[in-house]
Amino acid sequence: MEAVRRTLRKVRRQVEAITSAVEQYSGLRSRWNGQIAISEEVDLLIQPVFLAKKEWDCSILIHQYALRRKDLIGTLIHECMHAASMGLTPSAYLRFRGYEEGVVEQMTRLLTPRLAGSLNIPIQATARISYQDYIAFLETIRAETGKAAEDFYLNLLRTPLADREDTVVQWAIEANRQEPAVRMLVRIASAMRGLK
Amino acid sequence: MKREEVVAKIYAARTLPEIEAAQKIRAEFLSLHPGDTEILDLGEMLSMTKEALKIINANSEPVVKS
Repeated sequence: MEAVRRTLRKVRRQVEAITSAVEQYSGLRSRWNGQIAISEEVDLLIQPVFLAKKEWDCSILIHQYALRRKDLIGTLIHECMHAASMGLTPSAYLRFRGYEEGVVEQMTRLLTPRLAGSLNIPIQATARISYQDYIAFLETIRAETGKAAEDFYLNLLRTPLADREDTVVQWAIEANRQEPAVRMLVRIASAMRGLK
Repeated sequence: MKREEVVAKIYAARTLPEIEAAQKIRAEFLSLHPGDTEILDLGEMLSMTKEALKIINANSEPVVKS
């Protein structure tokens, strides 16, 4: 029991440090409510139902299985990004899930190397491969906007989730004024469908 | 079921029955391939979607200041 309490204290310190770094980096205010809990939820085949998640009441739930993984820090950064993400509501999440998970995951990948030093974690322990489908769709759209990765994803994180689709379309239209908008929209239509 | 089929099922899951089916497929895959990072991570999306649907269905969406 004391070991669990010690682990929870350590994870709390990490989440607090990450939250502070995410706020500083993004200029956004985290909605994390300060609560962290450790989950033991498993399915019928005794597999963890998730590694971590930001609950809709803005607490953070971390599975005990994730605590033993060397990529825990990336998981925590991902959840802290959700907590800062603008306009993340259940209804917006259901309609624009890829614009949330893809943006949050790519922001996690961009921020992790910067955080690694201050959190004393080896970079190789943070390599991430999740939500690659959503990131690929976002990259297709980003190519049409001409925006640099950090500019694109950070500004999307700052945009209410329900407005992100309209925002990327606007960016793409503005970057391609030399051609009819419909032609550019045809190029990104498949990616847009994939993000919903 | 092949790995890419499991990933596709998870991404495609939108309704509660689809999510529960995807969670079952995910569990079966993980029981054979424990430690598959991407499949493990995607459990978060299924869980968040499931909880979001429950909130919407109960018509009790929390007000989130953004």
